[in-house]
Amino acid sequence: MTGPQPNSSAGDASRRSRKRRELALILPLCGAIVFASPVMDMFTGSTTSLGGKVAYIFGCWITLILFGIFLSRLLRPEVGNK
Amino acid sequence: MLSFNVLLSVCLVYVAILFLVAAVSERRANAGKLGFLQSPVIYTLSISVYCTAWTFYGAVGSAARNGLDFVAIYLGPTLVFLGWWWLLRKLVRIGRTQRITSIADLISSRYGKSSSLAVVVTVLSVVGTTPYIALQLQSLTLSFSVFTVDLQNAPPPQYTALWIAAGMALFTIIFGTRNIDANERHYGVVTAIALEAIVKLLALVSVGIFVVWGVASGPADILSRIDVDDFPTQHLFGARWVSLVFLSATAIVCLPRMFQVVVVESSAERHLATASWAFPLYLFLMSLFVLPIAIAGRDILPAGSNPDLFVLTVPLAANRESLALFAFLGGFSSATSMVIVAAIALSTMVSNHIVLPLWLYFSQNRNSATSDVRRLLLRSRRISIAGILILGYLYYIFTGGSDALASIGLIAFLGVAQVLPALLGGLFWKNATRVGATSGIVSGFVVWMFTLLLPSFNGAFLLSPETLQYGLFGIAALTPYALFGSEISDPLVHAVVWSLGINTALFVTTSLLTIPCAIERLQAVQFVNVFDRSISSRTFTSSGTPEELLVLAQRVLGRDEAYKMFEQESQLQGRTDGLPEASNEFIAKLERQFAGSVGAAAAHAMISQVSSGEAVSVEELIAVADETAQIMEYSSRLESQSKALAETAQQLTQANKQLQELGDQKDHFLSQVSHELRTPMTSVRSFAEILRDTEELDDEKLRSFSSIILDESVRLTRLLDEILDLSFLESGKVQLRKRRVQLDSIVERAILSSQTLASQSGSQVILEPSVRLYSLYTDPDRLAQVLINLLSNAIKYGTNDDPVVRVNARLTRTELMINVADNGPGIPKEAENQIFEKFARLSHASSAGSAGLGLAISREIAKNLGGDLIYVRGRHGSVFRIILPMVSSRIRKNG
Repeated sequence: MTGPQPNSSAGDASRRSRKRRELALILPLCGAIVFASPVMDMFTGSTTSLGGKVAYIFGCWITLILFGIFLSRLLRPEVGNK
Repeated sequence: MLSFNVLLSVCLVYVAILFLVAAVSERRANAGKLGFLQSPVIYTLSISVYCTAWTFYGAVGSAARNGLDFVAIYLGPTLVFLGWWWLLRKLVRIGRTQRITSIADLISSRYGKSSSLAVVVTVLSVVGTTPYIALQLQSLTLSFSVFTVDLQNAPPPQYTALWIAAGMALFTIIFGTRNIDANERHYGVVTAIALEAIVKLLALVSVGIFVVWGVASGPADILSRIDVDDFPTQHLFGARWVSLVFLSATAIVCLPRMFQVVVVESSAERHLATASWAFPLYLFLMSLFVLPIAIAGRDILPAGSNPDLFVLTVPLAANRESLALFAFLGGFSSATSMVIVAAIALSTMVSNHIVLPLWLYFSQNRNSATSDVRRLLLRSRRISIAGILILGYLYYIFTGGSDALASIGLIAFLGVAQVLPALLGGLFWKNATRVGATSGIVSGFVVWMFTLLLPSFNGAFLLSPETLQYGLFGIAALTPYALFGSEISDPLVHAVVWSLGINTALFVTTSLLTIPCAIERLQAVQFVNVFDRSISSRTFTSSGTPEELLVLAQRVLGRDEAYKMFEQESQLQGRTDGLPEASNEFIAKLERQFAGSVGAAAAHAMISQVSSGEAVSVEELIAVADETAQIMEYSSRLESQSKALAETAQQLTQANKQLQELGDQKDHFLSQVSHELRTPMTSVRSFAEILRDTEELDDEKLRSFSSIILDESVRLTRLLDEILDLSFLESGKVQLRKRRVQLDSIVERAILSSQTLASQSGSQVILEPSVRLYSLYTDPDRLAQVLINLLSNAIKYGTNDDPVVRVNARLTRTELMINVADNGPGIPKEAENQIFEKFARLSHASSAGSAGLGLAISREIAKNLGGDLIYVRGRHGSVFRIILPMVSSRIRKNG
């Protein structure tokens, strides 16, 4: 048989792919936790200064974006294959 | 201060540039020079149509009024885009595979291509978007007023809004209705919007930089200028915050314009990977300077200044007219891009789902030429664009432009959010039904109008001020801002809870109570399992490659079979790489091969997808479903038949086994009969030969030999009689002569018959009194035959020094039992199972002279009498028990 043969590391690739997809779910969930749950109140309560609130929101926001870039690089090959 | 004419000129030049960019882009696209037009950057920038005048002007106003609340409007979309893999990717995939043209088309298509549902979503979208368009007109009018306030000949705001609406309608008609194919990308419009996205971002960032480092001396200085009394210090996290995040997240997929740019205008799924972070970054940059501008506006502008205009008034206050003009262009871009895309999306929905169905319904000639339909669609879209802008203008006029920009935007957000339950249910829940979706959307729409939209007119439209205060028809439970007596102080949160709550509850409940039709089921599978079913339609291009065919073949035929087939075909084609050329002949062969596994219709659909890139039509899917149903039914029938066959085979096996056993018994029987016959026959023959051949025999020997011959003949006759009797009994053809008799008479008769034998052996036969108690309905001769046989056996095999045979009887509830017991040695345990077999004789009793058929015959007689004959191991000796059914037994009175 000279045709294409199944890749021996197909199982590993599948596991990595599954992990990447799980990450794709975890990231927005983390965002929802830091922005739309009582967790947020711990850092933006009435005792926190406006500067502190701004730092928390924009800090979390840019961090999520950076993770988004990372995730995008991870998932791009899978989208490209389809 | 800039003159109105200069402002107008700048606007016209800017619009001309947009026209130019759009025209050049269209021309390049028509020439096939797509290049950057299909880049992820353009796609991401086009999504920024989300940032409207509300974002540009209203966000600063919101920040000045409510502090950080404005950020929530950006965080919702950020979360949705970060989770692009799960929702947006699915939407884009469905959009491509189903050739979706709008959100109404998506909902309609998912729920069985329901026209009525499409109309509902279209109406909802138009009504929900109208306040948003009004918001853009209002913001633009306000921005014009900033520059023209000192001019005596400046037109009234209504006229300004009208001219703006007319200009945007013109642009949209020219570039938004060039093609009839709504699924085709609007390259010109999208590129122009991308340019506007850059302009508005740069404008806002420029104003922000100026404020932070021009007005103030840096971020720390800006933060130090915060007047704690002016900025709210309440908790950010609360019902309103969560509602804002939720609504903005919903808007990113439910707003018609957002659906248009994210799904319909998407040219490649992979662009989402870039947009997933680039769009949130865009939003981040757009919001980064909102708070500083708001703080600076509060700080340097006089009290009472409109916060919604701080983006313009702060630079103007600092005599930075050019920067203010740039900011004005940014706001202009924000508003126009939104209106243009929204008008395109809504006009497509109106023409496709309302105008065209109506035209087809009322048209006399429904099979008119295609060109007529094309012209109709173009006209209806152009008229729809004008109509939508007129609606927005009217809303602006009715509301008087008095509301804050943010509140108008939120009204629109919640309006289109009514589609969300049906949308998500359609994507992830196969049991969601058309009736459920319709009831949910309609109910949510009505509640939204009653609790938020109509009250926004402040009693000027449909709902009177009295109704707003005391409730509909004076019923307090129907007060728009306190529905059913709820005490939610924030009108937005109140409307979110009630409209989406009722919407979702009805959607889920009705879906559970109704049954989807066939096409709904098919579409549900297509949507929910889009990644399982449509991989090929995306992966396989218009020219199917051998690799693609091999992948498909492996799925259908299995790996080994697929490789084998491909290798054989490759050899036939004279190729050495194991992959044959995807010729028509090979594809036809492959389809035939598939048909053997998945049916002809499914095979055709699958091969078509790979070989020609065709999407599976509904008809094909129905054919597949029908075929699958037939196969399942056939399989079910086969399964039941197979089960029946297995049972029959088992019965046959059992019957065969019984036949073999019977055959063995027959052979054994014949062998035994031959043996039993041979012995006396040999004796008879021998003595007959002696008598014949010996001339001189004395009389004594002569008599002796003759006696032997006679005895053996009698024995032979008896044996043959017994065999015939047994055969007759076993065949069940024996004729019984039943009558009522006394048991003791039968037993006494049997004892009398055995008396001679008993006397010879010295045995004592005792008839116990219990025998005299019963009479029975039976064949006395046959029962006596059994008793004689049992008594004979008991006497013959009795080896006790004082042999005794006892006969007694006992009645149970159902049976009469007659026991014949002896005090002999008993039957060895290992021989118990053989005593009723034919020709069975115990070795030590071979001298008894029996052929071994007595017990077999006796048991057959007992069975013919409806009972049985069993052996019971006694304490001393043997007990044979005749069991007769009670129906044939009666207790004799006074025995």
